[in-house]
Amino acid sequence: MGNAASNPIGVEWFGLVMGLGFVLSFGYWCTDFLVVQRAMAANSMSAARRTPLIAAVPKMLMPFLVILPGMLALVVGQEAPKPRRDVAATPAAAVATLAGNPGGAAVQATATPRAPQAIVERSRGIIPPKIDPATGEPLRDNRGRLVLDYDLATPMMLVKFFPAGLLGLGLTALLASFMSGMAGNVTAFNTVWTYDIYQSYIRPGQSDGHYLRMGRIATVFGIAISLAAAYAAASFNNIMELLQLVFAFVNAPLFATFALGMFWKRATGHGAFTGLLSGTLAAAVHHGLTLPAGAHAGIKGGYFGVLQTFPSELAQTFWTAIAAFTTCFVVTIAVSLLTKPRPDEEMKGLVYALTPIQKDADEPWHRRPAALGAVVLVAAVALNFLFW
Amino acid sequence: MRLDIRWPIGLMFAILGALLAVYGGVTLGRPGTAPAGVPINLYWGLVMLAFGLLMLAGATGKKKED
Repeated sequence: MGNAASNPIGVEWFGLVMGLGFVLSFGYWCTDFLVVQRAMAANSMSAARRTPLIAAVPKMLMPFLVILPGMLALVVGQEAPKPRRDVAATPAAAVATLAGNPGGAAVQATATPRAPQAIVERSRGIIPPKIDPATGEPLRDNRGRLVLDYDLATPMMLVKFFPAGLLGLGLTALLASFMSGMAGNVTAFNTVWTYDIYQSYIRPGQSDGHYLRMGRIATVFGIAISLAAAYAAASFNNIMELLQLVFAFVNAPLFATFALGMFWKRATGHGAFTGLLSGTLAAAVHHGLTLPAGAHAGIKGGYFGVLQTFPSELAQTFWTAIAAFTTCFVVTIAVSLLTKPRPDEEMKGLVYALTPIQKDADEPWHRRPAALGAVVLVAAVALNFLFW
Repeated sequence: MRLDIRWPIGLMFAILGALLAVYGGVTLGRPGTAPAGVPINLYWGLVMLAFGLLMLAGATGKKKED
């Protein structure tokens, strides 16, 4: 961990702790609308404070869900594959089914498994290599190694180990979780746009019907953006890398704004807005001037010219987040000090120092945020030691 | 009217679990139903059914308290 060359992500301890541990994590838990939205729906202040702590428990188990299937998929295919009759039960047919041509092509592949079989032989486990959409050939990195499509690890495991029946249930569960995440994000998008931007700044004082119509338009627009984002995501090795990059652009500066707004009563609206804008710009500048090793300038950065090359996408993202957070933090403070402060009376309930502290000493321990937080913290430390 | 969330959860898991368990029981031993060597349709159906019934038991039990 001491230097960047000794770990596969290629990031030193400061970039990891500050970039991922502080900026991106706090940004996600404290400002991400999907998380905050849940707390806003709580029926009391006490329940709202418990919401993220309870949510942290399943979130801690996420690695079992996203990393374990990939690791298993790498090794399960190692034993000699048994020839089988059912559709998509052989890795070759499954590759054809899942690599983007379901339906007719899958049936054809079962009958003549020659071409996909060659791909399977060169991949590891049951994870197929990524296919270049332009040529139809397996992708290789700059060192000539196959690029494996880890996004397909879970689907491949489903196809290999689930019989008809449970397979349907598994796919339904996957789809349900996609739809729930999509629904939450689309709701967040049209709410923030219609209420917080359109109604507050662009067209205040219109009828409910007007805002409802605008909300619907925002929904359609939001879904169109997410479709475009899906195509952009295809050029990343896995979805997590793109997600972290988006967080670095959006959540990292927002976290600096939130933190200053909540804990520093001198912060002003002009300072927050300028800081947020410059933080996002700083993310774009940093991302545009750097490039992960082996990537071409474009969606992965380097669009303003390449000043520095990072060993991996994640290392670049962590530093982008640090740049965005620091810029927003500094600019917000500077601009706030230059603008007129708000009187304390207007800040009651908004800033920590001017808000009465919640009392929860008479609640049972399992309803107190501090106790729950301690449990979650101990569990997180224990898991880290367990899987060091 | 406030809907106890355990009703929809319990009903969904109980119905899907019963379906899966019955299907797994009927097709027991047929080729292709146990890719990993375990009749997983039957077992997982029973697990889901048990969870669904537990939720329903909680929902009906609460009604008596009120």
